[in-house]
Amino acid sequence: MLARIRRWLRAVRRRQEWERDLADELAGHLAERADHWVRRGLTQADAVRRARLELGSREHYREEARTSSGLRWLDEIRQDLRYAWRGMRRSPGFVLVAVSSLALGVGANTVVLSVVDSILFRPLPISRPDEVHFIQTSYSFPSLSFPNFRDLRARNTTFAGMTGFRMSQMAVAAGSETERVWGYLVTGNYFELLGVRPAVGRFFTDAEDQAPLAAPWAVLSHATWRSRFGSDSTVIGRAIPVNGREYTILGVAEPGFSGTEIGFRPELWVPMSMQPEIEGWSWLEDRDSWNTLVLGRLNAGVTLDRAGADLAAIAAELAREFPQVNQDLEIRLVRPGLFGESGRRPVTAFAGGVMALAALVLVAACANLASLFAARVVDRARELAVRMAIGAGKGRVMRQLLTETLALGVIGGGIGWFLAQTLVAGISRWRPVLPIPMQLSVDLSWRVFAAALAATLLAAFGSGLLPARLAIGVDLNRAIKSGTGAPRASRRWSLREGLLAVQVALAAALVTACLASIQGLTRALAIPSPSTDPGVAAVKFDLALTRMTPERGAVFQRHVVEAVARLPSVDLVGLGNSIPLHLDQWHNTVFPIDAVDFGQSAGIAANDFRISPHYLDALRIPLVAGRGFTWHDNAEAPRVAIVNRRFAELALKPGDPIGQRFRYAEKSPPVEVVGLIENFPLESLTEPPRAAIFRPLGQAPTSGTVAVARTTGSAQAVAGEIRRAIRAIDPSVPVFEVGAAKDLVRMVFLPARIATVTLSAFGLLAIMLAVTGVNGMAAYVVTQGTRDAGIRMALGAQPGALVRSLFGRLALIVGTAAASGLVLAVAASRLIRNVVPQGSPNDPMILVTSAGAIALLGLAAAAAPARRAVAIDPLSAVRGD
Amino acid sequence: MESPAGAPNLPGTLDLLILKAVSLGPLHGYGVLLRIEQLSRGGFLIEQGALYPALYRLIHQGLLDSEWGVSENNRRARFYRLTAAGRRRLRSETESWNRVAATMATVLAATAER
Repeated sequence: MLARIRRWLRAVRRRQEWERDLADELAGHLAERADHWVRRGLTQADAVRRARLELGSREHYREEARTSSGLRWLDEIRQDLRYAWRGMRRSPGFVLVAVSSLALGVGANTVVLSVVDSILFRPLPISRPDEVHFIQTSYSFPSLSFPNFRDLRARNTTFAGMTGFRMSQMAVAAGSETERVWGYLVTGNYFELLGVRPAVGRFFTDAEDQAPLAAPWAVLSHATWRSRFGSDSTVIGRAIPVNGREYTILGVAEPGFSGTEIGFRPELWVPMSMQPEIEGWSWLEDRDSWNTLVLGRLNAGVTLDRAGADLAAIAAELAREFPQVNQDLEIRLVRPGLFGESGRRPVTAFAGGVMALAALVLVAACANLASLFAARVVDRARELAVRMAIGAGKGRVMRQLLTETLALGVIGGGIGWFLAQTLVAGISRWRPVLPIPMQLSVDLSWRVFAAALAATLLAAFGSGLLPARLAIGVDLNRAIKSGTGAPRASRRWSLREGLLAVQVALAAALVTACLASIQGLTRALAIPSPSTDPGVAAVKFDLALTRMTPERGAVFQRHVVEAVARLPSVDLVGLGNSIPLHLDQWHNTVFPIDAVDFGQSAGIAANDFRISPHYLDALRIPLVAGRGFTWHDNAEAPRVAIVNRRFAELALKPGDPIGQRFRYAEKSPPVEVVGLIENFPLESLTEPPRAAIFRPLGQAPTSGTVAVARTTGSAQAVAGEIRRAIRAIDPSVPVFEVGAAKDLVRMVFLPARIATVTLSAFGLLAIMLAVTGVNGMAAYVVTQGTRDAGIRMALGAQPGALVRSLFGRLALIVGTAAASGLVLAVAASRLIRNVVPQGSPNDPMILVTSAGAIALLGLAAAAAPARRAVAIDPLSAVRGD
Repeated sequence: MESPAGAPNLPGTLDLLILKAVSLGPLHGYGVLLRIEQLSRGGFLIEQGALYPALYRLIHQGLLDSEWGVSENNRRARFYRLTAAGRRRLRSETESWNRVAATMATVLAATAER
């Protein structure tokens, strides 16, 4: 067997030699035979002729010899390819449409699924990732308090280890300026537990992360090491100033590792025991500060159920021991990477919607390709019949069609792969302009690509071969005469009609989804929010990142207000801990003044703002009732607060809220409400109204500070001036997030923007597919009806009536399909709303618009063939060709 | 003179004849033809064109080997030789052919019983 393959390979490789030998051999044979006849008395010429006759068709025997040597099928494939190539060159339109349908359908799906895969399904780049789980509380936040984490870690019997971490801002001095960077605070066992290796140097260990504030060590991310330190390995052992203290660089993490939350790219890791200095206040001993994200690695062989039961038991213990803070505490294990379930759930819903819509694009592409191939086979019925009449076997004809399909698949798939690769590379490079370092690393998924390509080709092939079988089955004589496989034409017709209807319906649905997403974005941008006012400049700085005492910090903040107020371009200036819709939101729990139960779950959760006088004015937040703050509302004055309507509903008694009181805790002094404002979105654009309290800076200090300034000029420019003013007071204070307030809250618009871009792309693809589909069908109708139309025109039919009779059915199909597409969109509106919360396909305006768009596109696509129909010359049409 | 027949119309017969012819010594294509005519005493006339596909098939199956040489008339010619596998095949085919022939003879010699 092996020897046979070797011989075959030799024949293939030395094909020319092989052919020459064969020719020589036959020539030699003829010469010998001619000699034989000459000896028998024939003339040389007669002898040669006789010899030739005896040998028969040399070509035929050569062909057979090739078959015998296993060379024949190679020739045939080459022929098939050449034939396919000629066919494609003859109909460039077909090739263009087929290849682009394939490339776009497959490419779009590959990109979408690759992105989804990299966010939802790819395991973290750690060793044995399936053993590592995120430990999620049942509360509205995914994290645990550090003392709770410590107890969980110490008491469990099912985990090989648990590590706590938190994303944190840090001030890193670079030259004379101080820069804000994002890093991780991690317990000392973090790297060892995850099984991450250092690229250079070493990591800190659990033993080094015990005593408070005794571990000024830093581990750099590989990207930071490259971009900030030029991959210089002598940085190991060097010190960098972080928050005003020297941290020694111990090592650099391996290149693929960028923390344990997908998309978030920290620059460095610092031991958790340094938390008080990194964040400016300590929560490590506060059981009610829920700031620690926790990952655990299961012991070998422990099931999720057993570990879950173990954790539940400890949670119950903790709830008993600390009823005030841990009431009803439940702990579950979930997949890590997206802040536990808090991130995974919305992302999954979003991704599911986008994937479903992308799949519709693929189905539309399949339908398009299928109808193209079906049409092509019908168009070529005569050609196929001729080829069979002159002796091509059925198998051979089928194989030729298959070759053509595969050739198109290779070309279209190749282009699709290239497009997908380019897009995915672009997405991987993309760093959205956000206050946090977000970047995805997306790998193009081979499996996804192959599956999408296979699905499309199968559709094309199925719809090309099925009709081909029918075409082959037709009566050769009749097919040659009439040019089409007449007897079964009506059946193929309905197949094509069905495919066209699918395309149009999907296009209608996708256009609707696309319009809904645009509407959603428009609405999102129009949601009234103080932070999106274009006349507000915002600049963040954080005193926790310096080593200022709270007292000095308050003085510094006062200086900033005075300096900014002196800027001629600034009308009003205020300070606060954050602004509405910013990612950084503070929360607090309050209790009604007559509360008796002060447990965690009995309190009312409220967003916690700490603001200076004029903060509300600068953001143009009007007071509905009561008064604003003054600098006299300080620590010595009675406790006061401004609240929103939602807070008044939840925490106060009905009636005038002004003058009513509430508490933060059982023993804390009561706080009096002095002002009331309207509700507005605080964390996301789609949230139901949230309760909010605003307190004066003098009574509720903050180190993280946003200066907001109202200006009639350019907010961007004013923000720059504010930064300079702050730097002039103290250059060691890190100033970051400088710009218009609306730029600082971009994150909340990101999903709507992504949805709009994605769905618009889908809508566009679907429209392109539908237009080519309708156009092809219209052209087909005209070709089919030419003879008929010619006769009718010769008999005096008006062009209008002709077009109506030709396209009546087509219009009916398009209309019905478009309508069912709209119904589909409405039925899928929940899915679409997962992707675009503010938009809805149920809006009549959207439905009317997309129906109109489809009708218009249908008309446009059918226009050219219709013109051709009207221009039919009756005589030549009746004669045929 | 009795007019010569074509090769018996049984599958594999031509292959067997070629193997036999070549087993008596290396031959070129035309030589195979002459040798079969000579061995069958002119009884079998091989269709000349069919010879070459058969030769190539046998080569492809590894039963024959070939080598370029010079014919008795000083022409460049390809000479075919039996391989070890070819020799084994010839032996087994001969045995089975003889068996079939004997059986056929017995069958055909039978007369009606009375």
